Amino acid sequence: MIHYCFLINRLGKCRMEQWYDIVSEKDQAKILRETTALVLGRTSKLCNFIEYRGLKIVYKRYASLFFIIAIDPTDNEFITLEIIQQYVESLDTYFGSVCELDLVFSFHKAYYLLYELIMSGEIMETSKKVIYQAMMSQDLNEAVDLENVPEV
Amino acid sequence: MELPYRGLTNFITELRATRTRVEEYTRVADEAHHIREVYMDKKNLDGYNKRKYSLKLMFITVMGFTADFGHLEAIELIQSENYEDKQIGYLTLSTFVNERSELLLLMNQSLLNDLTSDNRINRCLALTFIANCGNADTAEVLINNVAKILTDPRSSTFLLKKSALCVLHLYRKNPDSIQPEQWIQRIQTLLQHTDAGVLTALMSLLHGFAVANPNIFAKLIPHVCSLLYRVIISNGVTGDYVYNHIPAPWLIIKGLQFLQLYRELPDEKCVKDVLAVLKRIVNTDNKHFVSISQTSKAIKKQNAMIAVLFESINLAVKMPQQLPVYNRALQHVRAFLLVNDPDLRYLSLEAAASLCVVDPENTGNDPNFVAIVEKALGANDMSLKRRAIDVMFEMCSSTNSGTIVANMLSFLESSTEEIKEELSTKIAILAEKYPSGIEWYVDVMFRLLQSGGPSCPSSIWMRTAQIISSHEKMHQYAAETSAVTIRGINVFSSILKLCGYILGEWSNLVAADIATPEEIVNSIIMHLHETTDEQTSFSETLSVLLTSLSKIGVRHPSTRTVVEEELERHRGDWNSDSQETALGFRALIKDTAEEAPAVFLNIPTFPVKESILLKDLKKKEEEKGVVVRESHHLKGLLKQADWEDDEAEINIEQPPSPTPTASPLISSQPGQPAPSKPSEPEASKDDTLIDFGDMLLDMGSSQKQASPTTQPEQSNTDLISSLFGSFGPGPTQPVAQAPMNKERVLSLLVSGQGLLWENQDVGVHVKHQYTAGEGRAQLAFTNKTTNLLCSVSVAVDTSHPLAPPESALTVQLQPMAGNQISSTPLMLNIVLLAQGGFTNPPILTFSYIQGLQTTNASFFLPSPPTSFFSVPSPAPSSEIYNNMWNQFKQQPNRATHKIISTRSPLNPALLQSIIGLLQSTYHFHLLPGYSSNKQVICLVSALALKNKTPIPVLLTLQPHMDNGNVNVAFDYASPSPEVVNGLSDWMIGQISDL
Repeated sequence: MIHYCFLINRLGKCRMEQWYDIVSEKDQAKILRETTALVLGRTSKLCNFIEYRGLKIVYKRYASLFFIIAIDPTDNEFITLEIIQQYVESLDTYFGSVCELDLVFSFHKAYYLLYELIMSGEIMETSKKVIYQAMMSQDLNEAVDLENVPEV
Repeated sequence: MELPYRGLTNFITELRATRTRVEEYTRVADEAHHIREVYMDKKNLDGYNKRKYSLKLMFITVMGFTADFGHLEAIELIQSENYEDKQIGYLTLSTFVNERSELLLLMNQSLLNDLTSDNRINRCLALTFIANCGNADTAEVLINNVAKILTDPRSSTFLLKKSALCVLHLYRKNPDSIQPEQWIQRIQTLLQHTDAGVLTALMSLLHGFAVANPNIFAKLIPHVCSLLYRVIISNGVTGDYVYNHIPAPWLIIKGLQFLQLYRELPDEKCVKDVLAVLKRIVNTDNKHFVSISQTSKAIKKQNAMIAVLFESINLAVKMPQQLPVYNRALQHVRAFLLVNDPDLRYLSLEAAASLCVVDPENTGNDPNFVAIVEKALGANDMSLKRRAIDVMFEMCSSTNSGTIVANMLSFLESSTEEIKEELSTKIAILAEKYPSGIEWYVDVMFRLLQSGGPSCPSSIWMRTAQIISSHEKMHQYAAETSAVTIRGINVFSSILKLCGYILGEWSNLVAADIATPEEIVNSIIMHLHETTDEQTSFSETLSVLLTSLSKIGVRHPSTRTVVEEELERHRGDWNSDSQETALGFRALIKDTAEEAPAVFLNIPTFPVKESILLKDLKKKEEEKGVVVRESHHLKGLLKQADWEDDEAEINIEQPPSPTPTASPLISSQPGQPAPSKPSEPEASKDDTLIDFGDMLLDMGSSQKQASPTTQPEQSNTDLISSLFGSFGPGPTQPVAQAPMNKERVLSLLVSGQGLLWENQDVGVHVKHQYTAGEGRAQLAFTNKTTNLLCSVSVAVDTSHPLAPPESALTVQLQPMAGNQISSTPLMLNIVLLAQGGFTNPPILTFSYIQGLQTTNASFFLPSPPTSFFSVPSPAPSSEIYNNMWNQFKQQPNRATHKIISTRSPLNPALLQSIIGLLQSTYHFHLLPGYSSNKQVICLVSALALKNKTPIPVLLTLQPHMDNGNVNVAFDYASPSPEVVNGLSDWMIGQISDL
């Protein structure tokens, strides 16, 4: 299963973090710091897997962003790379050619999208079409709500 | 995209404009203050503002700051009926919750309301939150409501997916909250579902249940098998779920992982289904994989396919009885090991580790495979290195432990600190488990402790001391090695402790010519002086050394005064422990005029129990959560290597060899001449030997006595083997196959060019010449097939037990023009520089891929040491050589003495041809009339070295033609023992074949 996933930029700033284990805030900060250092310290010629604290870190770089997922050692590394790929493609479809700023200003949307892809540390939906439809219907719900909200 | 919350957008923009972390912090603190005020006043606090502020707080959290308020407002949001309120409420709470279980308690009622709500969207939001954040308490309170959604036949696919994963999450957090066996029926029904998304989530749930309760869920194996069959063979998945031409890869992988939990499939149909599935996957169109081996970009597109392939390989290696599938999987792994892409190599190493457990024949016992793995060990990537170490560990067995441990040791010397601890523990375990001899074990452990240095955990030296103390045969050798080691300076404390311990116990076994008790005591005292001022870590070493000093002092009265003085000196130590130890021992020694007190007696033999090293390793793996592969080394945890049996086995399997391991073992073997002391070789009893031979023998034996520990290998064992005219050196490692092209090499010694090696695909021709210690060879690889041979790689195999050491012979491969062999030959230029004496010609490993087939081969270059021989020019006269020879006598020379039986009866013509062979092929020069005995034929030559003085070699032949003897006494001498050894191996075989 997936234990946690992060989105960091190449300067080491965290853009998103999601934990599927119960981890104290102190440990979260430590793990985030250490994995960031590990991942940023590797050149593109090295493999995308690192063993860390009994888990396997699978990461992938897209432009200035690193997508990091920690999985069990028994899990499949390549399919995890594809989860990252799926997520990036879904972001791209939703935002329309996504860039880091989209993920900064609409960070909550990035989380919603992740929720549609991964739940309780397992892949939930692999069809980009279904994910996109879910996101669209959420936006529709918000729009319906907004109409009903009286002006302040 | 339109950004709905302007305040949030402004806040983020302002934060981004800050230049330092302090500025950023100030801005965040201001904002937090502001939000807190608004929340306190409750003025203007409508849904919009609550959402906005909640999002701001969440952003602050993600930025790495702590926002320890606003939780109640977030809970108010989820209680709202507005969709967006709920959504943002749940989102922010999920970042606040983590270990704050009290917050979850406050949420339980709202979660329950949403789970039971008629509104589908509310149920989805609650499920998502629980699946990501729920804890054990949530499970107790809410699991039944979640389960209800999963069992409700009216639930939509969305709800089914989410509730299945939600149940899994709650079960993981609190396994007692539900009984998995009640779920078998429902899961079985849902496995018929047509939606691939639902099936994927469901397989995750099933896999999660089955990991914890494999027996209960074994009932569902047939259903999973037919599901896989349906998905892969009957194309049961359509549309968007077919990902890069693979139907639902995530689902397939979960299914295959589920099947891996079981050792056997329940019935024939399952076997048939699984085999069909595996066959389809592992036989996946070869073209895809050919492209994989070429470019890295292609791989990225194939990730899903590779993921599925490796998962099938993982399953296939658990079914070695299904040969065709298994072999195909094996082929894939071997091919991928050679690929450049680091990700693929990582995965193939991982798969290789499981392969080693089930199939030692094709892994650890295959030198090519071992060579490939070792190559990965040298990779510049820590992840790959760790995996390679793992594979090496797994593939080590009693047949190949010598090579593997030697390679791991030399890797340890050059490795970085971060893996030294793990590596040294693993080496220690392997050396103990698969010892190829008593001396071997002691040598390995000393080298390990020296190379590992401070990174070696102290459990290693302790375990070594245990093993040595429990094996009486080791005591002498260990004590002597320790006596030599402890003389050095800069000895790491772990070795000091081991040496100290061993010498304290068995100093009386050390031969006087190695070290007298006084010398041992002085060495120990030297180390005590050297390091007393150091930090506390030395105190343990100190107490071990003081104990051993006292024991030696009691055992050898001649040293007592020195020991007492030293103990006296430690009265004033800053460390109270060592003060106490020193004073105590001093008092005890004084009282031991008649009888040594119990504390100075030898420690009783340690009964071999479970190794602390294995325990350590197992504990570490467990901590790491690595229960992946049941390592066969860890499995045999309680069953220790049975040394006595192992020794017997070694003797039977291993021919007498000239390595240090052999001699003491052989003495215990009945029927073998007992070389209890390195005394005169048996051959000396032959009365036909002449004075010259005796002279050589005398020198040989005096040499041996001079340093019996460092050169104990020169026993008559290699003589015995040579008596039978064996070809090649005594194979120290029967596993590592010798390259097969000896015959061709021999014929190439005469001619400067010709065919060196060939198989059905490739022929290798060589041209070579040697001048003044430098050899140049050109290899031409020709393609005998009509296909392209790609990924051709050639390397020097320095790790092969037969290979000459790099220090003696440097082999430089010049870069090749490409790595493919088409219709034109691929040329490789090689420069060989002789630096010292060596035994065998260098070995090249060669691999290429044809189609999907990887072929590995290795062959000798036609450059045995005799290639570098040249007769000194002008040819020396007898007198000159006599002088030279007298110089040998001054130096520590070596001589070996062999008697060869020729195949055909010896006659003058044959003798001529032997001399001719020695002259033409081995570059010897005949010195007529050198010996006073006319029967003796003398030949001279010299091993030319690069930029060094040549090493002269003298060879004498004495034919025994009378009494029906058809022997040639074959003596040679040189200042260099390596040259002497090297000669015997390559020449004698050929002469005896004449």
